[in-house]
Amino acid sequence: MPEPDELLPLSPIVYHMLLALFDGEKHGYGIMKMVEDDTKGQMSIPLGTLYGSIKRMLAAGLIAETGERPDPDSDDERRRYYEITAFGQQVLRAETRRLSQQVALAEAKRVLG
Amino acid sequence: MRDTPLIDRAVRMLARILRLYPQAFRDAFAADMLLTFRDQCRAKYAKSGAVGVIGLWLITVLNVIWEAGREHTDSLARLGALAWMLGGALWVLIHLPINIGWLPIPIFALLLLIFGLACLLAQVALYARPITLIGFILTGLGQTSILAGYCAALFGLWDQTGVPSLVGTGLQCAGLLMLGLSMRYPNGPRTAWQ
Repeated sequence: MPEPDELLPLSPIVYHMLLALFDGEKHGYGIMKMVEDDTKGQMSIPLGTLYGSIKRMLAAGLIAETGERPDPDSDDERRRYYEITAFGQQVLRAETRRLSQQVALAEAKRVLG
Repeated sequence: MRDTPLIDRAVRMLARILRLYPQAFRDAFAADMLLTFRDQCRAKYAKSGAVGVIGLWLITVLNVIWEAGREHTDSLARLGALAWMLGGALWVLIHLPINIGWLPIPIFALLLLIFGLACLLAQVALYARPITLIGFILTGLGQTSILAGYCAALFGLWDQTGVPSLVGTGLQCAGLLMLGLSMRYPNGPRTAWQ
């Protein structure tokens, strides 16, 4: 497994997907909706991009598929749920720290006036 | 839940377009993608009606075609890196001071290298830089040094001391090692420039 810093910087899509899963496991549409809500509609992830990212995040060990379903009776059994892994949380923290440092630098230079 | 015929048709048509993805990707995600798309269609239909669903379908189809191409390029780039490594390893083998005595090996090595180079260049064109960049540069330098050494010896410009060949082989081995290490993590999350 690589060090968390080796994966930085994350793309905005991967970062927001990790943030969406930080709250708890979700299926594909749940991730999509959460990212859209979190960004107040500024970012919407198209279907192909979402699943391409999911595939790469699974391969990188950032997320994992969960065996459990929140509501097995009313849900389609083909639906897959994903959760953030411990490594994914480390990467998310590392990226958040990196972004915070950049914002702090911009504030120190009074970029926003 | 029973959906409108428009949503059913949109999902069925998308299912056909998902065949553009590599088989392994389809096996893993196609069913889930269709469920997600159906959820998107329901939400869009409730908000914007039939026009919204048609717009969503068009955007999704374009995105899926683009992403399916990327998935194929990812597979090709991995295959290319493997071919580059194998070709490079054979190249080193034929330049060791032993006579392996089988003529097709250099030709085979060269064909693998050309195929690997083409795949890696496709990856460079798509993603601005290959994941295997360092290995790619080192093996390229190694092969150029070997060729330069041989050409110099051939035209009598240089005593055949074997130094260029030795340096080239060393670079080639280092490049192969870097390629091998980078193959460990070929499908990482795309960074911002991607």
